[in-house]
Amino acid sequence: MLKRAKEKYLVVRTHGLKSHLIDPEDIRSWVFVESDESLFEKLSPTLYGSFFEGPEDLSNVAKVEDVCIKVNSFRARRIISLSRGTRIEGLITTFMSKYDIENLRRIVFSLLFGRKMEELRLLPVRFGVIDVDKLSKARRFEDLLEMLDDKRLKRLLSTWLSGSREVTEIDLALDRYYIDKLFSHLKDIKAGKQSPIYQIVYSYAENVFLRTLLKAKYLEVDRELLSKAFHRIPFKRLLAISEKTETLPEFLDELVNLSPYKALSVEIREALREVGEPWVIEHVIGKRTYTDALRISLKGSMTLAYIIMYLVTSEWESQSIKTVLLGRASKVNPEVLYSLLAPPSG
Amino acid sequence: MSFRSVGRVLPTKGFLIRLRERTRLLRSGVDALKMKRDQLVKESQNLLPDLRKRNEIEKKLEEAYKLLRLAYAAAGPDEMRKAALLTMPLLTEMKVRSVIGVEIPEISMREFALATSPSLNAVVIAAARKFSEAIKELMPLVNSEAKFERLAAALADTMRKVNALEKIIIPDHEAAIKYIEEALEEDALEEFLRVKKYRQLKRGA
Repeated sequence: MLKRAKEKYLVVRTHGLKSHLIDPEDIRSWVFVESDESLFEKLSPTLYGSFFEGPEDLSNVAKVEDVCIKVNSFRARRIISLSRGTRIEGLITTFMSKYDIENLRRIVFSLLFGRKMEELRLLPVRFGVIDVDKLSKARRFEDLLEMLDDKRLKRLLSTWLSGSREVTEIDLALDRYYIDKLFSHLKDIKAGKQSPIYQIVYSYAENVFLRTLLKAKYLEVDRELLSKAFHRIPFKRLLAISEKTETLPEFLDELVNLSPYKALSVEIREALREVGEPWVIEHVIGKRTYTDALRISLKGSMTLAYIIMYLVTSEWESQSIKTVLLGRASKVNPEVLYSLLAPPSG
Repeated sequence: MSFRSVGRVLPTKGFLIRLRERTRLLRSGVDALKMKRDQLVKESQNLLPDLRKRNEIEKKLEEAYKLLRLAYAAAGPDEMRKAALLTMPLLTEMKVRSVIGVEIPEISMREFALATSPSLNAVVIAAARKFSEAIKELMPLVNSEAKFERLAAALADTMRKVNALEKIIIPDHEAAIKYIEEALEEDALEEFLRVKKYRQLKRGA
């Protein structure tokens, strides 16, 4: 039970906000809507509708992407502002800092490959964990190092710069940074390992780690590099499997024997068999993250875990809307889109 | 008298000798062109197994485009732009080689590194990999098709020359030779009759 009244109020408000989210089945059915006009009518009463001016906007890919990320960020910001002064404020901000980290990643990539400023496109959302706008002005890595306020990020980047400067290495390091930040905030709120908030964040971080491992295996990243990047990470079982396997099929063969990862492994193997590429990794992990968040939040609907579940659900919703709209614009077969948006239980 | 491919014909012995010489040269030219034609056909036929791979490569490209569309839907154009940050342009090199006098371009990939990272969406990596595979197989096909096009153009040109020589120029020359021979024969007969008449008149006188 929550001890602090403000936290209780926050959870109650989140319940209210959750009721405004669109039913995933409704989103799924929109792939078969014939015209943009009809779809616009369906979207108009939602939060997305206020960002689109007319049916023509639904086929404007840049606008669709912008709107989807902004709606998700708008909801997260509301939660952050409601959580001011509570134990969970730092955790929520850190949870959303993945967008700031993603922007930092893009800045590093553009500096590494000598890209011009026009080529660098940052995500249009900021959560203030990293001053992305300041960092985007860096012309050299030295400037970037000077501009970074976070000591751990600074150390991480400087180690990478003095080493191989491999894209994969910095990628893994940033993922590790994000996971560690989540766990350090869990410690701050003194959440016990059995508490729903600990479990939901643990499960989320595990999915982030699993996604990285799956893609690293897909790209046949060196095992030693993976072990070094994720040394002493709490997900020992996954790390052990990663250390004894080289390729993605080998990794999936090991995962299939572990019940929590069986469904995921089967689905990715199916894609590998049909297309020759495991293109569904993000989708499968997204679905797993959503299912896990729903399952854990059911254990305590009046706990802080419900807030994280809301953020995960909002992200799933905006990703689904993006898939429907961009899929329609790219003329993807509606049946394929429909299967992509399969409900997590299905 | 004039023939289209011979020009103005003079019914003289000197012209006949020159014409016969030219006709012999034309016939040996036809033989050489026929040899070139046969060689070009042989070279073109050697390319057929490569050209037959086109359907297979088109299927691969279709699959890559299908995944690209899916990548647009699932990951969005922003993720594509991020992937583009990591990608270096495909650098090619072109050399020109001569096959029986036909200049053929040969394109090779100088630099083609597919830079991906685990932070990219898997569907984007998958689309990039499919395209990279298709492009690697596409390159030899591009070479073969370019070679085939040049060889086909040279073959058509050679066939046209052989036909023109066999059907127009040599028959024209032969007709001109025949005309001169007849004209010379007529002249000789006339001369013979004139001499005969002159002798008769001389004997009668």
